[in-house]
Amino acid sequence: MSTPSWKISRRTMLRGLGVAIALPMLEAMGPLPLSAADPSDSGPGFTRPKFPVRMLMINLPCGTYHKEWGVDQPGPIGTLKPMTAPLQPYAGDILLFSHLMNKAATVDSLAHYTNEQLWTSTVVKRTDGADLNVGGVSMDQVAARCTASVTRFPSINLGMMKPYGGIDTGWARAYNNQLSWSTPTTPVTNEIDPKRAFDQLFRVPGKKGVVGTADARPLTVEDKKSVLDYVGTEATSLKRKVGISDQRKLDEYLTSVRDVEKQIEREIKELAKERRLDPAAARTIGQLGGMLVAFDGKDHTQRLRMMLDMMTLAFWTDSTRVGTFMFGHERNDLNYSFIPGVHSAHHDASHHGGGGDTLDQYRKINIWHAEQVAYVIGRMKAIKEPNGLTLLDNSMVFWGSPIHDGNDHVRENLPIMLAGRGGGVIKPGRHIVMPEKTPLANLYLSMHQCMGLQSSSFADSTKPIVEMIKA
Amino acid sequence: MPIMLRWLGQLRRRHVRFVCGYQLLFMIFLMTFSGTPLIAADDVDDPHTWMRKFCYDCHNATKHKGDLNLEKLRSPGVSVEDDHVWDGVRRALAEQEMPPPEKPQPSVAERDSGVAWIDRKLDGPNGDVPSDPGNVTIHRLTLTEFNRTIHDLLGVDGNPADVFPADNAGGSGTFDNNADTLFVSPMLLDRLVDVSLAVIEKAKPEKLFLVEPVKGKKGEVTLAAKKKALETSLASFLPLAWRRPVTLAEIQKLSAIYEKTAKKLNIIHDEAVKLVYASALTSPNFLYRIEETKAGKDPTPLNPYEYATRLSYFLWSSMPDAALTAAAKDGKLKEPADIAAQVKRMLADPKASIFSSQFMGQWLGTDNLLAGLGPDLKIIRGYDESLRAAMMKEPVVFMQALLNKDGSLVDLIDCNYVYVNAELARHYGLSGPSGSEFVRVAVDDGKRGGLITMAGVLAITSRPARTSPVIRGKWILAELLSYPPPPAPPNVPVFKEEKEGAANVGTLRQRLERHRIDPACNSCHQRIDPLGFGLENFDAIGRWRTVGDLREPLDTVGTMPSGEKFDGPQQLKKLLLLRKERIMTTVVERMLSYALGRPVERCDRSTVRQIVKNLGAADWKAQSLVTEVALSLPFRFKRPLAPPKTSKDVVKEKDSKP
Repeated sequence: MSTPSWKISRRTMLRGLGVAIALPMLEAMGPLPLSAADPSDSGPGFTRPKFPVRMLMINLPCGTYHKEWGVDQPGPIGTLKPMTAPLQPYAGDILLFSHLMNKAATVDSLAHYTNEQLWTSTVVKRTDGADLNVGGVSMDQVAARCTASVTRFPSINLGMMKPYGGIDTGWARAYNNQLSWSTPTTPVTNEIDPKRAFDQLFRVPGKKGVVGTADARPLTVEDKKSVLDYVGTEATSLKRKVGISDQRKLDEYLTSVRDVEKQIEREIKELAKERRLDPAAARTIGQLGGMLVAFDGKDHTQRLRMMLDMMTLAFWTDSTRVGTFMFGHERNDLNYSFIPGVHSAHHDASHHGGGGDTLDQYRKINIWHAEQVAYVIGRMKAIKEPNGLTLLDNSMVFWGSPIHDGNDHVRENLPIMLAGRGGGVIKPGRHIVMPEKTPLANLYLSMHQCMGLQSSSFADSTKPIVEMIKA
Repeated sequence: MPIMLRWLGQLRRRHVRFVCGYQLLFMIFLMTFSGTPLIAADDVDDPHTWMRKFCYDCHNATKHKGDLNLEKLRSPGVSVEDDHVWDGVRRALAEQEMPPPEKPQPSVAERDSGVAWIDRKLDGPNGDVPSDPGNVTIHRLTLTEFNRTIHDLLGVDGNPADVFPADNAGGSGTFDNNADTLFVSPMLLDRLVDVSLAVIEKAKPEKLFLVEPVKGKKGEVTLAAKKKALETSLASFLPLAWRRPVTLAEIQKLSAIYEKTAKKLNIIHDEAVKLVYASALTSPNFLYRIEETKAGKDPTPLNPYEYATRLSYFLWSSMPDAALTAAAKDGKLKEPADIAAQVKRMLADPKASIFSSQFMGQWLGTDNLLAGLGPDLKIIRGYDESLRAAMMKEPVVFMQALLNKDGSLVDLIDCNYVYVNAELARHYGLSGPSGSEFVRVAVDDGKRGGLITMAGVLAITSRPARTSPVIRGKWILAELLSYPPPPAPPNVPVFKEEKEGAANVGTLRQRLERHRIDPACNSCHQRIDPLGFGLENFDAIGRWRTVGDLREPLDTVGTMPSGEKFDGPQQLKKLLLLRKERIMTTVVERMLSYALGRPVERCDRSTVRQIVKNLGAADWKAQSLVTEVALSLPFRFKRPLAPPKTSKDVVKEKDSKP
């Protein structure tokens, strides 16, 4: 464990890049404040964490092939099947689940892609664009609401794919472009540009970004606030002149104005803190910044790994406690030929037919996904934190798909993995076979409780999964 | 849900969005106040009489072929789900797709009366007269529109909106300008403030209309004088930025920001002024195309500035120019002749090139070639970025030429010419052009000419490494015939042979034919795949070929959903020409959707029919289409603010929800 023993001036960090960044002092990191109303532990067996627990949600688009995914035997994880083989070195750090089910995804059989409710577990309204409504807040944003008061960013949401559009079988594809919803009607946009993500993460209000392309004179905090104040008033007065759906749009605008205002407040608060930084973290930030400046944006895997590095840094520096990462959406027509031996789009290959060349490609694509998940798990495991555990131990990394198998779209027995110990509570290294059709929301509820949220239910949850904490 | 029902049902859902409350209200009104029992009046030509003759044999409660039970179908307007099916029945009748060829056929008169009955039921007794303009939500400028507006407003080049999160792309009946999917996230708003300042700093000085403050007697410049000067400047700038006249109060709200900022010690005058201008661009008045909605019973016309803005974003993806604004101011945007003249003028402007590229690229899906979809540059020999660019450009140039020459839109289906540059000509095996410019080249063998034989369309409907008759068939159904098949149902069983890993043996056609043995797949794929077989003469990037991937002689025989056989693209196009009116209806629907920035809805049915009729009378001339859309009710009018709902409506809506 590296104990920061000297102060690093913010202005001398990233000297090569000529920037200042704001980061909190690690020792100052605290768990979530207890609610006065409910000082007791929230769930059966889930005790309130002493050190911050982080949550990383990763999706697995287009399912898997169950014959080649995870393990069959319940109990300790032995040899992982091919599509999960890259996770073998971390077999002791992960839980695999069988028979979790997202019941909401089965309500409307026309819901073809189902990823919009992967993290909400709610029934999504079928619409071709007007009145998008996923029926609930996604589990990451529920957590983000609670952690927003203690970190700089409520959540960091990164992804790899540009949004799709149009309508598919009566469903707006706008649903599929992100998995996080801060309200049932407000999608949380993924940042897909690593340079902009970096600048957002390590920026100082009123200062230029580090590696981004912004060429404006940065606005002072005060100026930015007066602009926001003005446009907020304008939007409010416009609302009186327009129709119902227009008012919804202006409300969305106003919510964004308020969110940006809150964000500025948070950043000012964080900046005012006396802070010390783990020199290893500072070094890593500098390295990543340098790599980003040099990056030409072409290599998909490299871009992805820089995104995951950023996520790790966001946790390490306690800039956020909730992160989401989206490999892609379910109707993924992107050509995956950057993986050797693959010459199909992910979605096409996912209809693998149980054999031949298509399955071969699908296997390679799945292995590639598992490699990236193994990569971020490895990075998190290599970081020691002041409580003596690794960042991975202090985290929960979810990786899962809304469908059982790419070929048949069955929505039961989903492929779900959870890495990390959630601060030491979770006992990983096992395959937990749940009763058939156990709500996936039970896992989300358990994760909320691990983080210290005062929750007793989420969506269609029935109870937390105590098997996670009993070895 | 049964597959056939899904197919029929989704027709409405995809192309015609329901406004349940509105329609139901209308039905209730009729039933309550018209005094005539609605159903009785229709007994004269009750479709159930002939449906008993032609449909119920196969689609009844016990033998629901295609998983469709028509016997239980009630009157349109009773439930939304039923309405979807009714529209499907209408289509099957009108396009002679049902009953199947081997069954007894209704007479032409029976078909016509069936179609007319359904239209009357879906659109109301006066259904041929458009009466409801539908709801158009205020548009946040798309990233393209933002960039172009900034260019026209400030003279700033580049793509400042690139730092915003990407918009939802267009496709499958909608475009990236669909207002309901244009979000303002905190990320966008945060960056908008910075971008606004950046573009103001780069603006051409004359575009800001800055006036010098009046100096005092001793040559001093007071804060009040500076503020006054700024207000004068804003009086010129704001109407352009906000695309409408502004009030003094609005100007003063902005100059108040100046006053507050300029009082700070370390701020120089220029910086405070720029902050004010940046505020004007961050304002919802710039970011959204605001249109006022008025309460009342009847649709209200857009005010002239709102109309000019709609027209301008329709044809230029940018703000109105001085001439258009002047026309709005002078009341010269009211008469159809005035509007037609503006449309003509605007289409002739170089700024209109964006219209063809946005419309065609998103309708056809060829824009997606750039997003890594379609064939793989690394795998397909002879496919490179320059060819891809030419393939994407061909349909755009084609449409531009149609608009410039006021050609017939039927050429989209089939014609005896292509627009190619040297590279694409080589690709097509044609001689003629020698440079990168696109020129018109005559073709007479029918292999090329029209959308479905364009390399860009053939490529975007291919897999990375091979052709796909399924995607191509689906493309023709969805993008030309507006008959999109549903996706494969969930829980598709794995085929027996696939379980043994033998799925990928044989030619593509053989594999697809094996696939269709399964009745669950066949009900849809028998309509999809055979269309695509007709295009197998084109490889994954649209090159002509005579042998397949396994060097097998190609079998390009296919059938239309209605049963007519064809062999190869020439014959396929001839059969599509027979469905000219259906395909033109699709073109009208797509253009209306693009112009309005929303999906075409049920209330637009009569508008679409009217435009198709007028367009046919005008020999399907391309400019007429644009003019007709610009003159249409939904483009010129707004739906009034709905009266407050009664509890009865709410109950009805609940019942009708799918």
